[in-house]
Amino acid sequence: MASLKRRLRLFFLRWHRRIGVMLSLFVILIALTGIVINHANRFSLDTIPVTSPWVLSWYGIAFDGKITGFPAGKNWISAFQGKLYWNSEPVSYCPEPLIGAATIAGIWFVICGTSLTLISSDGVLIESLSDVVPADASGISGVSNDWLIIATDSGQIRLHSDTLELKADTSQPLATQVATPLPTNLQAELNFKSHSITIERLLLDLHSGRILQLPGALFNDLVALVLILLAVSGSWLWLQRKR
Amino acid sequence: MNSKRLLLFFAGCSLVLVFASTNPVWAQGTYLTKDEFLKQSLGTSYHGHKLWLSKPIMQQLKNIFGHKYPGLRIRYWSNNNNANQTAWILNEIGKVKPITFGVVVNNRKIESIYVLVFRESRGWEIKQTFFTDQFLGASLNNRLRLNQHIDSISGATLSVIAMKKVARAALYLSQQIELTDPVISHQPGEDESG
Repeated sequence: MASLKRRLRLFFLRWHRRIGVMLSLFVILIALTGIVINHANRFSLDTIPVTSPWVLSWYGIAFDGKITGFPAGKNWISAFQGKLYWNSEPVSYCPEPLIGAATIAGIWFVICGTSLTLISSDGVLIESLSDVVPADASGISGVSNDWLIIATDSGQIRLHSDTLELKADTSQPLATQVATPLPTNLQAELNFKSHSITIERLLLDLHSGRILQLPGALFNDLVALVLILLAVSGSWLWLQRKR
Repeated sequence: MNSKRLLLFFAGCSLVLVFASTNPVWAQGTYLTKDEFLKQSLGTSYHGHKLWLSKPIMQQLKNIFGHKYPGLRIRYWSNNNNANQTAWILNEIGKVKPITFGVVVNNRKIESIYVLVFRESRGWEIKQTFFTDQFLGASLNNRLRLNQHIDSISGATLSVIAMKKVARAALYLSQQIELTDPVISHQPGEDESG
């Protein structure tokens, strides 16, 4: 009987140690995420967006890096989900394709479909005008004094930046601007407008295992059960030793 | 035979219900272009102007709309033959998308009001003249409210509210203008409008 007890104790001791070592990483992860989650609000983690495309892809959020726009000095003008953005701040509506952006006398002229939006150099909306540009406009070719040179399917035209007068442009056709992909972090910020995944949400999902969906949650359940077993086996071993 | 007819009747009713409950995409679109609105309202001779929104004007617009009006300036047009007649193109969100309205003010009273572009899926009924005619002759009282009662349209409440706000804003703005900043002249025979 004593021998059986001894063998059982050795078995428990061996496996208690082995499982303890195996689970130590998960325990540390759960403990650390738990501590941070406790103070998420204090550190505003519930409002800071997740910007990593790799992490967002885990949530099934398409991040194909295809949000394009036009550089405005150190800033970016882009259209995303029907809104016109100055960097990551929405300034107006842009339900139609963003055609181009050019600056005249410190004011940015942005063409969205047939509408024209004027934005100051610090990103403040001046005015938004519909029905200004012909529907067949395909891009901004450049600026000549106070005139925007716009490429259309039926030829190049000029739009006066102040009077909004339109007239045919007889000068040599110019190359039109091409929209370029926004910087990755800016694209991520714009994407955040539609997904709202915060650092706190990521931590909660890491803590619970939901980051790996159902298998992750089941694995964390298993870890929790094994931790209970470890607690029982640890207590039993301690009691045995005491005797 | 009767049961077949009854079945047909119910099927017809179901189709009507399904059709009525779906978003009427055909309601969205441009009803009147800017040039059509201006020509229709001001004739063939008008000037364009820009009104920069000072802080007091911004504040009053905020009171009228219930939110900050986006932008630092607003364009408007005046009739060359009648300086008291001005046309305003203003946007206001109905439920989620902006509706573009055209308002003509003459002697501080609304002469006509139109829906130029409707982008919402519901509430398009506000474009009908049976509704817009209620605004004709309306002016602002001291509390910047319309002096006429406007009957609402069930199912288009938010669009109605948007139109009332825009009417109030156009009347208020028309009181703030000084016709000193012509942008572009539109004379008979010219193609450009301003």
